[in-house]
Amino acid sequence: MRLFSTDHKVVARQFLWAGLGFLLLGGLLALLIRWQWAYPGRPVPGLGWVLPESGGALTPPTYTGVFTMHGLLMVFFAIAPLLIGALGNFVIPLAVGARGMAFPRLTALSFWVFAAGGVLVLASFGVRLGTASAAWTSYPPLSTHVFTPGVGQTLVMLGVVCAAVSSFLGAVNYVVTVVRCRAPGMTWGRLPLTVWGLFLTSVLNLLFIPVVAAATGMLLLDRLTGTRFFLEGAAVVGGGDPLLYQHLFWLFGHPEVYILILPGWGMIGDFVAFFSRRPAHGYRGTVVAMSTVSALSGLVYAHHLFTSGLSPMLGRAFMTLTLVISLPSTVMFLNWMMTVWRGSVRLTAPMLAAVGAMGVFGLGGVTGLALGAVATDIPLHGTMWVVGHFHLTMGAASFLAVFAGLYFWFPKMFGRTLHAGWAKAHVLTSAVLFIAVFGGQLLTGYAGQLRRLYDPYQYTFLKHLLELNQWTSFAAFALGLAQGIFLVNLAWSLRKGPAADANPWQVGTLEWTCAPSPPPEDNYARVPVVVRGPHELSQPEGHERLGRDWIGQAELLPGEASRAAEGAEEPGSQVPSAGGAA
Amino acid sequence: MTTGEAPAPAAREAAGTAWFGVVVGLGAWGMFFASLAFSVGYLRMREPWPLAGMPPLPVILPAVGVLLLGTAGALLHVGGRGARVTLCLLGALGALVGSLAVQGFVLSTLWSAGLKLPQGGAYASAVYGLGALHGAHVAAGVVGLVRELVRGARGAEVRGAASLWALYGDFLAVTGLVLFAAVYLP
Repeated sequence: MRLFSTDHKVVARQFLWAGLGFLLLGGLLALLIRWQWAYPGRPVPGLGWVLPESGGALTPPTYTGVFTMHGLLMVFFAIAPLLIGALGNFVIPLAVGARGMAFPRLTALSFWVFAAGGVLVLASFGVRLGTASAAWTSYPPLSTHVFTPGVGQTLVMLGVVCAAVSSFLGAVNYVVTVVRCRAPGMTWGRLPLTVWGLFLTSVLNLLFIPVVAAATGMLLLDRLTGTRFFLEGAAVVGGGDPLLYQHLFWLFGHPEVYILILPGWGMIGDFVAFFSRRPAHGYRGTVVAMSTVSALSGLVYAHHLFTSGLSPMLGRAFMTLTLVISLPSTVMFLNWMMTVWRGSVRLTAPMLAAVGAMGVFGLGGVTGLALGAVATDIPLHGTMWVVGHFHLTMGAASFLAVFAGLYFWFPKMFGRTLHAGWAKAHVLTSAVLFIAVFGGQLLTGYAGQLRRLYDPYQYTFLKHLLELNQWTSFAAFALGLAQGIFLVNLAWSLRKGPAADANPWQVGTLEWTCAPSPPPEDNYARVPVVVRGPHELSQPEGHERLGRDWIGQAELLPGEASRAAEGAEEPGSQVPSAGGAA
Repeated sequence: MTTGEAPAPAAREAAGTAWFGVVVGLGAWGMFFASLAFSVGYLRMREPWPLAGMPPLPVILPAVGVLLLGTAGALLHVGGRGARVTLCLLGALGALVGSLAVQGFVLSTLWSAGLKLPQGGAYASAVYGLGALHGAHVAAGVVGLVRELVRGARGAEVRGAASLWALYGDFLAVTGLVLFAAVYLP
């Protein structure tokens, strides 16, 4: 693998390894938080060498840094690079029938800017006064030099700016590739839903990443140059306003939820069709629903500010918009279920992960309704209910979507086959434990436990939650251990996994039907000419003329060949496949 | 390729893709400056602008700076169409440097007049902070034009690049105008 390659498949693998590394680090930090809530102040086994002064116990400042970096790493350095950087870079050009990204050098640049950000974030752990500790939102005045004077906070914010720039460059590339580089015949209505999800994510990234870049830029100016955009108080005459940062942050932050789940929604839409052996029910409706959610996502951000003194009039408007977003989401959900209904369902690992993502996202969505309505948000705001809700949507659903995508495209990405049994065991245990962990958080939040508390049991009314928190922590530790199944399977399959077939899932999209596993550097021997949609499954003509239940997107049926010969376009070239789903 | 010769279809398509990419990228990055303008508007709604005792802001010189940015964009458009591209690039470079010089003069004059950081609070922050952020974008344009001039001097074809930099010139002028309206107009 060339280090500075501009091949989108190589860059996708670079994002994959970097994202998995940060996922491991962010996950370990999560386990530390869970340890603290299960055994407050007790030394963490094996951590004595890192924290010798406290004998391995988390002190309040260390704990603050731990939960801050857990959130930042997971959002900016794990989910985004895995779901968008790795799967997006790998899938988009192949699925639209392009020989590569529109701007190959930009592809490589987006990874290396991300890597620079990662280095800055890792370096922050080693500086005096420690890493960032103003939570993942970096709200001022907590994140200004007054309250977090160490260089760690500055390094992390610079790292976030790098991650933002990387996402922006990637988004430009994705949008231009989808708009300009589609294969002949690949109309918008023939795009796989995964590509739609990644395209809409990129549009949201383009619109809202600059907003967080501006907010973080002004915050950095406040920290480093003496400006006062967000600081006010007795010492500053005519100072700025910390609430301004909240507006800017959530104008980005709420769409970020959809940025991190839209690719997953697209994958779910494709996978339920592929593995139910049925065309996606309501393809257009699903695309319109995803687009509507994307459009609404920028108009609902102020529900995060219901308790910040927002005008009640505005609160009512934002509540309405927030609740309206559940309508297109429901359309999408129903379409997925209708696709599965009476289908010939194959419970492969990608299908199980997709169904798991549907389930946890549904639970996260329903619990989010309580946070979208002013009356119920006020008592729940700032509690563990919020933590449980957004972990189900942004954490569990996104990671299950990552695993669904990775299990699905692994054979194409590496030319080897993962162990199917281990993959299914990993997905099932992860899905169950995700619900246990984040369900536990919802319960403690409903009981009134505030988020981010170092020792919740200092409050008498929370003492009885110790046992529930301990069980939740045990589930979290088990979830961490379950990821070992994935790591072992990954390592084993990369070295000794059987060679992958060109089309092991027996589906019709271009990457599986027109390119070997793994594809060559320029993807296709000949650019395919697309003649049909991505979900041509269980069609009578396919059974009759081909003797199988799927038809390739660039595949002409025997009767269609003569019609195509009259036109100017040549039919697409199919790669041979022995079939056999893992 | 000689003048007047039609570009090959593949080259035309590549140029179209590059043009579209630059439009998408710059159009989206406009949200960065929209956010800055929103921030200044938000802060201006809270109290008088300028605060009592703080020096008022000039209008004419910052407007001249924006005009210079517009001039740079226009020259680059002319150069991109093939007419005296080197001269147009040099003219645009001069306009960008001139704009930076005008802005530097305005900011240093205000500093001398007593508008300092951090004492100047949000008012001074908007003037210097947003000026610096926009100035950094102008400086990037200066670096880019110098690069194209060097490439041109080495015999490379730079008309296509000039037409793309013309879009960047437009971007600088429009965002400069937005920040001028947000910060400097009373």
